[in-house]
Amino acid sequence: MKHSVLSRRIVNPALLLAPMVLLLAGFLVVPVLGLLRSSFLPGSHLLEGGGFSLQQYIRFFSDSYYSSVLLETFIDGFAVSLICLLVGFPVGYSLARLPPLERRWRTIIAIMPLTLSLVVIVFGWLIVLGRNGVVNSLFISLGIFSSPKQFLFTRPAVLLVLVQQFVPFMILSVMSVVTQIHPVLEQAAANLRANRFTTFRRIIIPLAVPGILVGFNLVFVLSISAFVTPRLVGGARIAMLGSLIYERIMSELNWPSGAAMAFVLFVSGFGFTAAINALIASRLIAGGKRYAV
Amino acid sequence: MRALSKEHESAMHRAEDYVVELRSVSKQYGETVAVANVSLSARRGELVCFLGPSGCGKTTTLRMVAGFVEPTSGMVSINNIDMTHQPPYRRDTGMVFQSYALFPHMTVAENIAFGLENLKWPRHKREQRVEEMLRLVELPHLAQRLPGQLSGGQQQRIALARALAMRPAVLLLDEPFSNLDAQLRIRMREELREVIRSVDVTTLFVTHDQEEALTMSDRIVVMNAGQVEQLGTPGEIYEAPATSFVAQFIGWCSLLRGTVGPDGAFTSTAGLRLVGNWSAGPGTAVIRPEQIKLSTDGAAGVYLQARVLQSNYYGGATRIVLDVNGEQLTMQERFPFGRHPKPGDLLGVTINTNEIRILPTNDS
Repeated sequence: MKHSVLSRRIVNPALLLAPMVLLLAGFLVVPVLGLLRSSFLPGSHLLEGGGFSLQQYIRFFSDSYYSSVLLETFIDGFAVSLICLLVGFPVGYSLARLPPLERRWRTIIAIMPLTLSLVVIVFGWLIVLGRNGVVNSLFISLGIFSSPKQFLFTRPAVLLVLVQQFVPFMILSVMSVVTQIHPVLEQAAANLRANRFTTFRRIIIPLAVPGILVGFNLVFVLSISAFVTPRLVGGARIAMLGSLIYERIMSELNWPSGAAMAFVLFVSGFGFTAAINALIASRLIAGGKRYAV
Repeated sequence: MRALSKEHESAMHRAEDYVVELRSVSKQYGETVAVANVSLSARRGELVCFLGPSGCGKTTTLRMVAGFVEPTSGMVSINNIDMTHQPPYRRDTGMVFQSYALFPHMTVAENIAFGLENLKWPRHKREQRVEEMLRLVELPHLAQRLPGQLSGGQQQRIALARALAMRPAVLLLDEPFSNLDAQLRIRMREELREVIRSVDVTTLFVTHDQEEALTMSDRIVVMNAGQVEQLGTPGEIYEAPATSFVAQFIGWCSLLRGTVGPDGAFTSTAGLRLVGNWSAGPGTAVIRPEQIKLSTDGAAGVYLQARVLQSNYYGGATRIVLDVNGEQLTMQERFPFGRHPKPGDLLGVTINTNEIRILPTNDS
């Protein structure tokens, strides 16, 4: 009470937001608007003059190659998010249930991958999964394979590396929400004859939905926009929209086409996550934030 | 001899059919003994209270009955079935948690039905039972609310309804009133007692509030530092405390150390002499405030001159700390119109020695 009165008097919230708003406006909104503008340029070069045309978008949607890549990108993003959820939830949950001191260094280990450069991680995986890599030599020496198998440049390899990169986001989101679910609720459920599975299904999951959604969205958005991993681990055969955009702009210098693809990805990705959130939120937590834990 | 009497005891237990039984239950966390050797048998419909200061092991004991804590040794049985190592969800208990622990994402009706669903009751029976329970706690209009929309008292009643809906053999209450304000606490206490009587469920109940324990329980287990100090009816606990801890913890009292001489009279270390008929030896006299009366003659007891040390007005009565022959005694008396004595005043008091108990000194 006293605290809120103080903070209201001393700091105006609009003032607190100002630096962030300025930063985002100058270095995100303006460039993105510039990109949006260039997606409506005719031709294949940024400097080929003005004009306004839907040519880039028409070409994207009339060529079934692009829509299949878009669909594949979404399926991959969804798969990566789902695997991250399955792998990350138990970790996040168990971290949340540890005493704070024990939780601290385990959390640091869990988010360690985020501190490594993506390029280092990807090259690490290239070594592990390569024809003469650790996995192949291990399986051959154990006599399971007779000759090296092709792991790199396959879709499972891309998904695997994406999961490894993004699972910390899921762990953190789940952990932060589960720490808000008081363990006494689990005891109450047990007292009401719920076994562990029922407690998990009826109490933990519904109460953890906000954190699950945050983690799911983060991983999904990061996955569909990834371009380094699909390019290096997937190679030319495994196309995801992110690497396609990268190539279009960086190799072919075709900014208008790349910009149009980027906007299709942006809008459809945003729409997809919004739809998922609305669906799950309305079904699992009736009325959204009507309750406080 | 000892083994024989133990066997005899357990044979008697079986014949009596207790709903809850704790047999020499102990819990240790490493070196620390949280609960040591607690035994208790509660009959059907009995309300037994665990009373003690915080950290005395009363909550741990309750949690061992619920199954959240596994005893280091001893046995817990419910309806004569050994439950010592069974998980909570296999035990026939219903618990009201200190924080109520209502599920925030479920409506009141869903909260109450949760246990019934897990017990696989058919839908129409569940709905019937939920309605019945809401009527029992007099909140039928709140069925579709979420717990966050209820007051503390309402949440507590819903927690009780949820625990009782499954018709558990034992109802467990963990400091159920500690989150309520003083007035509501007394009302809920009466209400809760009535509900428990009406459904005739065996109840174990944890509190640190002696008034709650005295007014609600059939029997009280007074605990201190993991040990049972005394087990008895509220009357026995108050009137005949077994140890000086019990005497001090339940109600106000003055404790005087001293000795009982061969003539049966008690002399305190400071030299206060009380004539009586106690058994000889060192002892501690337990003197309750109501055993000291203002008086002008020594008709009923020992007449003494006393000097007032402190005088505190409590509304209905004034609590006075007296210096009597070098000993401090506390009495309580009503002085109408605020004419209570001031420190330094001299009073004549009578101590009713017939009701005073002398505890043999062997406890600390």
